[in-house]
Amino acid sequence: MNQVFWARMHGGATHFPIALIVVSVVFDGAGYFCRNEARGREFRSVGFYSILIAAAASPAAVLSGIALSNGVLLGTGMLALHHYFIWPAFGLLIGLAVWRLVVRERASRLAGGFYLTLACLTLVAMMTAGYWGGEMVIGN
Amino acid sequence: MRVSLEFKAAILGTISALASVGLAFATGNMFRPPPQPVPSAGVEALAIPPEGTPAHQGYTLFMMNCAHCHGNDARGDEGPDLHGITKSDARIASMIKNGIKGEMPKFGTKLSDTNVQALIAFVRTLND
Repeated sequence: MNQVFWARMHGGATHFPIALIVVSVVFDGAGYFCRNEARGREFRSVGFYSILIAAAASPAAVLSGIALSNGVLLGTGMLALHHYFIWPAFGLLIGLAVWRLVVRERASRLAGGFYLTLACLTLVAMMTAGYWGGEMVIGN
Repeated sequence: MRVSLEFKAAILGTISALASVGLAFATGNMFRPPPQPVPSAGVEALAIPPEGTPAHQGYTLFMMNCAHCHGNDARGDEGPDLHGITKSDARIASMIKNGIKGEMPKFGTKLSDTNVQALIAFVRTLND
């Protein structure tokens, strides 16, 4: 399998978790600030399943990326910039999904707010990594 | 001492996060090609052109945009070795701007003509 194959695999695999993190943060945010408790729970439910699927799908994106870079885990230039953001984002995504899986709906409002802040940070890190990844592939 | 569920979950989440990143880093070795034998003891590090010259600007652009494929020493990695290139300036400029389908991305929109000329000036400093 050549690098073009891995480039396509990585391009296909990365957008799924990125999109799901966006959905998760938006719905969790809506659930956090929604005054209607029943509706808020529904919003948080969407956020919960979205981050779970994003975390489950992320190893495919990571593995195809490692294969694409021939096992380079940091590199230089834009590859390094991509990695500076993607490794923390990947760790945070897995950590947040596990936390969410264990706590479910039993989180206090304070913990929920802390979770939401970290999820936003994950999203920003993921998008920044995606920006540098796109710069490498598209080049303009 | 009673530990809350949230705190236990946070510990578990942290362990999972570190384990995932660690596993990903360990997987890197599987995809890393075996090290190539060094042809001679005298393989020099990439010589950095003097500051203020177009070649130095080209070196900076190379490290930012090209090194991850052509290697930090421009000796080739995923992309080819750039030492001793015999192609014309116009051909190199065209390849940088338009890319090579399926092999190299195009940089025509990202890099200005001055940038491309600086890159060419840098590539011309790479002699075998």
